[in-house]
Parts: sequence; C-alpha cells; structure tokens
Amino acid sequence: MTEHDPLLLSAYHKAIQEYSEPLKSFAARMLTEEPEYAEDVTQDAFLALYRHLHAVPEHAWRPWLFRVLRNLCLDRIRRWKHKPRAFRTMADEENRDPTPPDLASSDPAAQAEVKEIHKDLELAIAELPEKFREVFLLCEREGHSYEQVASILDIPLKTVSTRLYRARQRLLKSMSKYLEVSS
Amino acid sequence: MNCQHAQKEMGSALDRRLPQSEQRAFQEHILACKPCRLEFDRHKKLQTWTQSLPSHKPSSDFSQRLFGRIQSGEGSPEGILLQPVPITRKLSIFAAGAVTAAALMLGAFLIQDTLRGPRDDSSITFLQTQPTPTSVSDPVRRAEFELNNALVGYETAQGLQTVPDPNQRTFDNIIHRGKSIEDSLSLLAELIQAGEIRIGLEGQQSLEFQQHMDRLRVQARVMQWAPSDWLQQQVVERQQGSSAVMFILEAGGGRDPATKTMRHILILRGKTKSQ
Repeated sequence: MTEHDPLLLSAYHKAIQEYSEPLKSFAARMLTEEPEYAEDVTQDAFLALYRHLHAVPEHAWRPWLFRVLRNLCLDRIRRWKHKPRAFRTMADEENRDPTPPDLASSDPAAQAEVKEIHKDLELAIAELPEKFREVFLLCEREGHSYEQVASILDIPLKTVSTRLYRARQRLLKSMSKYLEVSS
Repeated sequence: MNCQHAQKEMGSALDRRLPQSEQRAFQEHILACKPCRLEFDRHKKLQTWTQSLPSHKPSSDFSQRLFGRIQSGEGSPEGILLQPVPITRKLSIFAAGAVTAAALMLGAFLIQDTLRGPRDDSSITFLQTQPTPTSVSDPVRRAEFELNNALVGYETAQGLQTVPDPNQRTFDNIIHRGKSIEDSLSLLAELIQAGEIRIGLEGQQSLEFQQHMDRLRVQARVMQWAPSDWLQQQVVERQQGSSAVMFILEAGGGRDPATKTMRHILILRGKTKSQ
C-alpha cells in the first residue's frame, strides 16, 4: 500500500464520504443494463484516485473522479454490448431499485404520484443516448457547471449546452403526460 | 425579448447562465407571455423532478472494501494468465493491420540474470532503474533499446517531454501514445521466429506479474484503456540466459485526443528475485 501524507489520506477519506453517493448514483444511471456494477466502478474510481493522490490536486478530485467514473462506465457499457446475449446477466429488479426516495409529502397519494413520476423519469433518462444522458445527469442531477462538464467529458462548452438542450427536449416529450396534467 | 428568443434561451435562463440584463428580459417576457411561461414551467418541473430523484447510497462497507482492495492490490478476474493469446496470432493480427483498432502496449520486465553475478534480491521492485545496456547484442535488450529509441523519436517529433534514458522512465511518465511500435514488434517477431525468445512465465514470477498487472490495470482505466482487452496479455521470455522477460499487452478502447488513433505504448522495467 502506498504511503501517503496523513493529511492527504484524511482528505481522501472525506472525499469518499462526500462523493461516493453522487458518484454511485451517476454510475447507476449510466449503467442502465448493469446497475448492479455501479458500486464496483465507483470503487474503481476511488482506487484510481488513491494511486494518483499526488498527481491530482485536491480541488480537482471531484471532477477527476467523475471523469474516471464516466470512462469506466463507458467501458463497461462497451463490454456489455459486445457480450454474447446469452451471457448477459440481467439485473434483478431489486438491483434496479435505488434507495427509496425521501418524499417530502406525507400524503400517501402524493407520494405514490411522485414515485410514479420518478420511475418514469428514470426510464426516460435510461433511454437517452449515452452522450445526452451523461451531460444531463452531470448538469442537472449532480449540479456540475457547463464548464465542469466540458472538462469532465472533454468536449466543447457549446456541445455541453447543445446536448443538454436535446436531452431536455427528449425528456420533456417522454414526461409530457405528467407535465400536461400538472400544467 | 420575443418568443423565439425566449425559447432559444430557455435552457440558459433555467440554469441562470444569461447575463443579468438578459435574465431580467427573459423574466419579463415569460410574465407577459403565457405559452413561454408554461414552457418554462415544464422545464422547471423536469429539473425539480430530476434533482429529487433518489440517490444510490454506497453500501455500509464501501470504505472498508475499498481499503481492502488498496492494500491487496487491484483485484483482477482470475485466470487472466491462464489463457494467453498466442503471440503469433497477435503479431499476425498486427501485421494485417487489425490493430489499428486496438492499443498495443509493450513492456519490458527485467528479471535477475543468474548468470550475471549477484544483485540485491531483498525485495521485488518494478520500474527500478537498471544499468543502461552497454551492448545491444543481447536480442531482448536490443528490442527494448529499439523500442525506446522509437519512443524518444516519437516524443521528439511530437514536441513532447522526452526521457532519453530508458532507465530514467518512471511509472508516471512511461505511458505514451505513438505509432512507432511497429519496428519493435517486427524485431520481436524476428526474434521469436529465430527461436531467440520463448513464451512463458511460471510460479512466483507469474504471481508477481499478476500483481503488477493489477496496478497497470488501474492505470489503464485512468488512461481510458478498456480493461477487458487489457486482460489479454502475452509473456515472452528469453530462451537462454533468462536475463529478461518482456511482455506484450494488448488493450483497446484508448483514444488519442490528438490523432484519434487507438494506439498506446508502454514501457515498464523492473527486476525480481531469481527462482
């Protein structure tokens, strides 16, 4: 095990506490076919960071982790696509269920409605092409700025806004039944 | 601001990326224009729903398992050394040009030469500085030497920081992208055909190689190599003298941002205990 400065290690522990959840959430939504691997790839990203603690400035850990994680996810997606159909392990429905939402409303009917919206929104996000999905999740769900997303994905700023726009348009269409009702 | 402009800037307004004056103009427009206001509301609802999607919490032993992996080295699927791909096949694929879609990595992994006098065998080290070969008559060293020359040539041509002395290459600067590996591979193919080197790695060496691969695997992931392809590997060992072991690693999925090609080259060196 590589020895690191105690302060650096402490920061690393803190980063695990702080970033593992958003990272795993991002991975789970990128790995639509194999969400059960979300935790593994998240660990891989942290492992990679550990090996590069001295090379990556502390302030850049979060975008760096997302960038590595995104690469790992794309790699796994590629491998899944090339896997013979018979060998693809279909994830259990249980694995696909994320942590139950913390619904603000105490009204059971409202809770059920939100749950249904979330379920359909998850499906709609999963159906987005990867390049739209990753931009949408990083911006909208994980709260990265356009500049950060451009850096993470190594694409121009303009491409970020274009992909985000297209992702939103598709999702608005997919979710129209809820939006029309609630409008 | 008119409707067309408002529609165009809706995303930017939603993300508050408009200049202050434009943001104000947008707000004024949607207050006055019901269709645009409804459209903006739809965007906001979608954003709110997305932000309220449930999180995927890591398991309670996430950190514990992570540090377990750190301490034991990156875990690899078992058997990655058990089914080596014949090097002749790799080279024939390479010769056929199929490797334009794959990254090739060539590593040199030096081991103790039992015929060359005592060395410090107290620990196994990788990427440790080795004496610069005084002669390139040794076929394996010659291949390595040629490879390094090609690498330096490429780095110089590309205006990259170069490390002329192969012995000074460290783990952090050993990864390069280049196209000059062909010469070295051709040389290697000649050596194989001439029976100068053979394939194989056993026992403790195999274990150490496995551990070394685990570390490389992490690096490969960072560098966007596909771990699946990366698991294919071939060990080439000198038939006589056993002064060096070279291995060729094949990886795919790498992308050179400059050339959009898929080739990478890696030189590694180190030594290990004698058997």
